[in-house]
Amino acid sequence: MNLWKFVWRNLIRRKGRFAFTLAGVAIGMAAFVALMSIGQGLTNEIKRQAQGLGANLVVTPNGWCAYEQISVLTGEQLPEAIPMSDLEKIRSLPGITAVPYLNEKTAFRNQPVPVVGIWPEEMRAMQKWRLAAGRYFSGQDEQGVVVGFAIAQQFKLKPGDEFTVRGHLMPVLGVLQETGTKDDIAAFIPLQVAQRIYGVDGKVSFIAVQVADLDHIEAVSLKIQEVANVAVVSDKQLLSSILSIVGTVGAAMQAVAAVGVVAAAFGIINTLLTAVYERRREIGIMQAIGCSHRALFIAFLLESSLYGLIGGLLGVVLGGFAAYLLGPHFAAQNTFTAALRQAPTLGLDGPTIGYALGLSIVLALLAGLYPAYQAAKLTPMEAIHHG
Amino acid sequence: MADVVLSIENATKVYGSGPAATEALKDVTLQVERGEWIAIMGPSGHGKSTLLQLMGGLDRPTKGNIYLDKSDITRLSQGDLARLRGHKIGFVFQFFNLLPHLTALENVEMALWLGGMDKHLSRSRGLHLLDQVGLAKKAGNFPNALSGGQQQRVAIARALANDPDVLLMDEPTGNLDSAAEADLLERLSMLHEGGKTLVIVTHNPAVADRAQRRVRVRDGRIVGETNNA
Ligand SMILES: Nc1ncnc2c1ncn2[C@@H]1O[C@H](COP(=O)(O)OP(=O)(O)O)[C@@H](O)[C@H]1O
Ligand SMILES: [Mg+2]
Repeated sequence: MNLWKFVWRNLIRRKGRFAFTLAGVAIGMAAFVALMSIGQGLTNEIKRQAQGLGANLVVTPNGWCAYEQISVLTGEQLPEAIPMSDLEKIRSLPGITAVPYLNEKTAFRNQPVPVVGIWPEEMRAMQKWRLAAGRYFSGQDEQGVVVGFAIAQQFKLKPGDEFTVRGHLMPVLGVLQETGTKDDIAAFIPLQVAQRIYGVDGKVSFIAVQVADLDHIEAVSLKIQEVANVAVVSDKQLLSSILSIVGTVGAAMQAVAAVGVVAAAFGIINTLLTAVYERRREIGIMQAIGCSHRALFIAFLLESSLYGLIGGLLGVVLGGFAAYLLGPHFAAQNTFTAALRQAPTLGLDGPTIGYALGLSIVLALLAGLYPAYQAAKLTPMEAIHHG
Repeated sequence: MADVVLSIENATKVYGSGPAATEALKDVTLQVERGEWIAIMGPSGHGKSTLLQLMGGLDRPTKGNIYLDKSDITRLSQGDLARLRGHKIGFVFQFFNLLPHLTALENVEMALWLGGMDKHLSRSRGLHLLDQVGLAKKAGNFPNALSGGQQQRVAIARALANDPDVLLMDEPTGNLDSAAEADLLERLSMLHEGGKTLVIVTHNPAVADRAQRRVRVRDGRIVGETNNA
C-alpha cells in the first residue's frame, strides 16, 4: 500500500462518476487543445509560406491592410497599384534583385484558381523552380501557362492540355515540382500577357526584393521609399503582423474553450465533495489508524490532480485528432486564413502539449483544494459518528 | 509500583455548547497498567465510547489530562496526535472498521503504511498479521466478501499492525454470532497472554468475565470496579 495506490483506488471506485467527471475534463481540454493546435498549425503554415516567399523585402502600395499583406503569402488576388515606372526605379538601385507579381484570379472548370503574372526568368532564378513535367516559358511574351504542382493534380493537367485565363485559351507548357508553398496552388503566366488579359497595363500588385547584403536591408528599404511612392515591409515584419492577427483570433477562440475547461473543473469539485461526504466514516477510520489531516488533504488533492492529468492526456489526444480532421475546415471559415493550404497537419508540438497538460493539472488541483479542505477539517469523531 | 501505561486524570468531556451541551464524562480518573485487560461496562449512552476515544487520542477532553507512557497527549498537536494513534494505539470499532474498496490485506497494509513501514516489507508483515488471526487465505477478499467475525479479525490484525502499546475496542462482539464471538474471545486471550494491554467496552458478560478488571460507567462517571480473581 502506498499513497498513489490508495488515491487511485478511491478515484475509480465509483466508475460512473469517475467516467463522467473525467469526460467533462477530457472534452473541455479537447476543445482547448484542438483550437490551440489549429492555431499552431496555421502559424506554422504561415511561417512556411513566408520562408517560401524567397524575398527579404516586399514593396507594396501605401496603406495596405493586413488582409492584403497576408495575400502576398497566400497568392490571393490583389489590387494592381504599383506602376511599372516605380519597378524600374527600384530595379536600378544597386545590390538588389526585384521581381514583380501581378496577382489575379481566373475560373477554370468553375473553380477559382489564382493566376500570377511574372517575369519568367527572374522569377525562376529567385524561386529556384524546377519542372516536374513539360517545359518552362521560352520568352517574356509566350501565350502559355506553367502550373503549380497541386493545380496540376487537382485538374489532372499535363503539358499540352488546355487552360483558360479569363476566357483566353492557352496551352499548359509545364508543371512545377512541388514547393510546399502557395506556388503549388497557382497558375503562372508572363507578366505582359497577364497585364494584357486583365487590362492593367503598366501596373503590378507588389514587388518582391532580394537584398544581396543582409546587413543593408534597412538602408535598402529607405532607399526604395526615397525613389518611389511605396511602402516597404521586411519579410519579418510581414510575418509578425500577420501572425499577430491570426494570434488575436486564436486567443479569442482559446478563451472561449477555456470556459469549458473551467466548467469541467467545477465538475471535479462536485464529484470530490460528494466523495468526501460519502467517505466520512472511512476518513474517521483513516484518522483512527494514524492518518493525519495533512495526509488526507494531500490524498484528496492527488485525486483531483489525477482528473487533471488523465483528463488532460485524453483531451490532448482527442483534441489533436479533432484538430487534424477539422483544422482545414476551421481555417477555411476564417477570412485571414482561408487561402492558406488546407491540408490536415498536426500542429501539436511538445510545448503545446506541456502547456495544455499543465493547465489541466493546475485547474484540477485548484478544484481539489476546497474538497480536500473539507475532508481534512473533519475531526475523527465527526467522521466516525456520522450516519 | 505498577507500570501505568495509560492514565486518565479528572477528565471531563462536554459535547456541544449552550443549552444543547451534553456532559458525556464527568471528572473521570482511571489508570491502566501495562499488560492489563480491562472491561468497561455500563448502559448505552452513558459515556463508555467517549471514555475510550479520549484514551486513544481520537478526541480531546474538555477538562483534565490523559497520559500515555507518562506524556500528556492532550498537549499534542493534531499531527502528533495522529502519529501517536498510528504507532501506540490500536482501535477496533463495533461497526464499519474496514475501508470497503481495499482488500483485507490492503486494509492492514494501510495501517503499516501510515505507521511508516516500507511498501516491500508491509506485504509480508500484513500477511503475517492476517495469518495470526487465521485469515491468511482471505487476504485478497474485499470486506463485503467477509463475514462479520472475519471483518472484526481483520480489524484486529490492522490494530496490531504497528505493535501498539494499547488495544482499544468498542463493543467488538456487538454484532457477532456466538461461534464468532467465542473465536474472537480466544484470540483476545492469546493477545492478553502475549502481553498486550486491552481495554474493551462491552455488554457481553463472557468478554467481561475474561477481563482482569471490570469498570462500570454510569452517567459519565465511574461508579464501580471489580477485579477478577
Ligand atoms: N460526537 C458527539 N456529539 C454530541 N454528543 C455526543 C457525541 N458522542 C456522544 N455524545 C453523547 O454523549 C453521551 C455519551 O455517549 P457515548 O460515549 O457514545 O455512550 P456509550 O458509548 O456509553 O453508549 C450520549 O448522551 C451521547 O448522545
Ligand atoms: Mg458506545
